[in-house]
This record gives sequence, C-alpha cells and structure tokens, in this order.
Amino acid sequence: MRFAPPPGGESFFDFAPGPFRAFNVMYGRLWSEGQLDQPTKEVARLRNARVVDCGI
Amino acid sequence: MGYATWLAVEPGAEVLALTPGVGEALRALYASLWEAGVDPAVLERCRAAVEATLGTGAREDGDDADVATTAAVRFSEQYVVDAHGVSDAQAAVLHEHFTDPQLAAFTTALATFDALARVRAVLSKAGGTPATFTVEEG
Repeated sequence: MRFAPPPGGESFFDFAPGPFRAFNVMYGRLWSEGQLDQPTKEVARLRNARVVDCGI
Repeated sequence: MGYATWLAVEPGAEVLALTPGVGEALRALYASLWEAGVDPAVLERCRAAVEATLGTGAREDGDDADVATTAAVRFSEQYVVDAHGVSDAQAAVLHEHFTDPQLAAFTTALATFDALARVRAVLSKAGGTPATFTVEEG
C-alpha cells in the first residue's frame, strides 16, 4: 500500500489528527448545515465521485 | 486578491459568509494545514502549483526548489490533472523525503487547495459583483 494507516488506525489520515479532525468537522457541517437539502448534496457527491472515478 | 462572482450578493460580500458554519470550519481546517509539521514553503509551492495547473494562478519558477519540494509539486500537479495517474515511483519519492505524519498533512492540504481553487473558479465571473472568498487568517 502506498500510504498505509498507522498501527491501530483506520486511515492514513490518522497520522495527521489535527487536520483530519478539522476536515471531519467541516465535512459534517457541509451535510448538516445550510439551505441545500441532503438529497441534492448526495446527487452532487455521487456525480463528482463518478466523474473522477472514485469508488467511495 | 480581486474577486468577482456571479452570485447574487451585495458588493463587497464575503462568499463564505453565506454558509457561516461551514466557512468557520473551513478556515479552521485551512489554518490547521500550516501547523501540521510540513514546511510552509513547500505547502505554498504546492498551493501555487495547484492554482497554476488549474489555470487560476500564475506558474512560479521552480528552478531553485530542492528535491523534496520538487517531488511534492509534481505530485500536486498529477493530483490535479488525474489523481489515478499518481505512480508508485512518485509515492516512493515522497516517502524518501517526508514522514508519514507529514504526508498525511500534505495530502489533506493538497485536497483542500484543489477544492478551494475549483470552487473559487466556478463561482467567479469577470465583471461580476466584487466580493471576497477568504479562508486565510489575518
């Protein structure tokens, strides 16, 4: 694996807990706040993932 | 930085103020990137490379960059063009010059720089309403 997680970690980003935590806070707010409904956000997420060939 | 948008905002408006909670969290994320153990000069070179590759910023002269910075910049450019095109050799070179914690912070920074540049670009319009889109502190 090019970028393996640390021992006991689930993600490579566990190596950088500060930025990873900040990212997750921001990502959570993207989904839980604002005036755009979640289904529309999910359509955009899926479309974006499909365009860049991301399996997540 | 001069910025104009097609969004229906008042002149001088801060775009991120339209989503204050997300904007606050985005600024916290952005600030954390520069405090996570990666040389800020390397990060700035990569941020500029992302902007240049996307066509939203000028190409910097990188002739004076060291091997580590050059590897990070090339990785950044490949990420922007096609993330699947990153090679094992590129990853190996990064491991030679950066620790795992640095690489985790660096790739988070790279994703953030790329996303910010794209969002700023897609919301911009020459001759549009003057506005700001600021994540940097101070």
